[in-house]
Amino acid sequence: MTRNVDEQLIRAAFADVRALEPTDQDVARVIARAADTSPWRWIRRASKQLVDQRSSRRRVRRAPAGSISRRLRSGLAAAPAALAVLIAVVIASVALVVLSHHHQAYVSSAVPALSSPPPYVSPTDPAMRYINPIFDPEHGKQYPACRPAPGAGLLNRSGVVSHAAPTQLLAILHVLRRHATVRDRPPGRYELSHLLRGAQVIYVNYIRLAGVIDGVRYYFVPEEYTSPFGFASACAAAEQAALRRELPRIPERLRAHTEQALADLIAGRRYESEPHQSLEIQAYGGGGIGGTGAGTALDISQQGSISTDGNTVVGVVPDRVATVRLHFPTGEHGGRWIIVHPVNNLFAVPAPSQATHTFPDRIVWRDSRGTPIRRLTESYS
Amino acid sequence: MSTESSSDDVLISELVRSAQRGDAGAVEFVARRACRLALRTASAVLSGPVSAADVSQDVAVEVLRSLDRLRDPLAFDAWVHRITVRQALRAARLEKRSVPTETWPTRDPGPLEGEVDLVATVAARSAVRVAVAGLPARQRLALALRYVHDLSDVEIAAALGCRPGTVPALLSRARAALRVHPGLAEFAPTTAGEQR
Repeated sequence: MTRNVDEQLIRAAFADVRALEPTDQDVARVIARAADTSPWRWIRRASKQLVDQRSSRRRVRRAPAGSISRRLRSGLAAAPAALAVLIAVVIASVALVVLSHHHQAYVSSAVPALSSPPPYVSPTDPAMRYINPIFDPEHGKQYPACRPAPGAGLLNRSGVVSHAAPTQLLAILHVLRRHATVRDRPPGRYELSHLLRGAQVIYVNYIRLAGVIDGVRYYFVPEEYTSPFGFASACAAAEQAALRRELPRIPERLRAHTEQALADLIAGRRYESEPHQSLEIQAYGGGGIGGTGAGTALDISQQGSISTDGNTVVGVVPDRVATVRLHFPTGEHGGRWIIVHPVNNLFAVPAPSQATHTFPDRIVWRDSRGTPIRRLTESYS
Repeated sequence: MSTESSSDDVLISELVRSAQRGDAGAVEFVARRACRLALRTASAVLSGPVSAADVSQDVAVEVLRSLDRLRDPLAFDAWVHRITVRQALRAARLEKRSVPTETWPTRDPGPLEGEVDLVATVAARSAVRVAVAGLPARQRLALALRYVHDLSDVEIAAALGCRPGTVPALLSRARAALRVHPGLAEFAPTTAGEQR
């Protein structure tokens, strides 16, 4: 990079900063703060003039800035209304506490120890060409052991509050390991009860604000999740037998690899059938509240998570990922690589507006030295 | 090399004098200008928009409270820059002790002049901002005053409270650090993109 390129890059990076303007509310707040604390009478006079001007211009009712007795008189006049509002707030708070109480239970222990997470098998692995037909539901119907049990697939959303530590998620997401601050608290008690309606267990002490992007606050909500499909050893044995029957048609150099890949995938299913921790992303702002499951700790560590609200593509990556390269097939980013640097395990890019596919078709994770950690392809989206 | 012409400087100094006399409109102008200068500097130096907005408001409040003490209204901008530098350094020290919880908006504000050679504008901006965030606070401030406000070495030195000869060294060190930053190596003009 020559010096010219340096300067060009730096200027380009600061182009949006050069156009920043304070809002009218910011300026009004500054003048009001200065008037409250300044020893100079002229600021208070100017502040009062500005407030008066704005009041008459916008016909907005404001509190009078008069003597103490005037303020007291106006305060007494407003007392019945204020009392009514106070009573309403107290009643609403009590109702919310009562309504949300039945959801809450104290879970004193952490989740039981899990079996080791299995190795990751990429959907583009050459072995998948021979494994996918075995996993085909139509194929599975041939084996009684692989038929779904009655009630399978129904989630038990008991909505339990846990004060334990989500150790699996803590091991891969550094944002959850930092100390909680006031900003990490989702707005209002209602929000916790809202979250509980969609989860089995929520680790309330580890909810963290991961980032604010375009005015939308993204909270990471650690949860516990148990697959509603269970795990049937007999089904796994039937699938392995089916693959063995297919072995003569698989190229010899791929046979051992394909058997191992199937074993890893079955181990993954067994792992998922145990209770384990998962991450929910809750987005507040931008005109609403929305949530999306980011996957289990295993999913996140192996392939991260990506979701979009149509305006922004948001992703979660595990620790060690310093750069994420995204390739969008169509739209304004079409055919180009977009590079983003996750902050607090979260990254975001503007969603391509005129694209048939909102999700990237290729993703590359790199560490801080620029070494590729993982390449994910279109099956990811 | 200021962004404002000399006639603008005279107009600004007139408005500052009017504000010192208590003219409400002029006070609003002074508050807005101080807020704007500080917001741009703080946004270039700090890691999040909320902390930048906090610093800009603190600077503007301090400017209004101390306006009576400003002897030379022509030096208004330089005075605001000095206050901003002090407040931004304090905020940067506090940021260093805490984990960032906010990110800058990644939405592309539009095409930029002279940026045609870059691989992707969004990516380039993001990468440079991340690289700049890793520099020492004084180097970040020097970059901001040069590339956001287009100040000369002398003006930057006055804002930073150092000798004018120190400024080229600060800028040079900052650019050198960016040149070897791994995140920016990808934006070398010859890089065509990721090949699988």
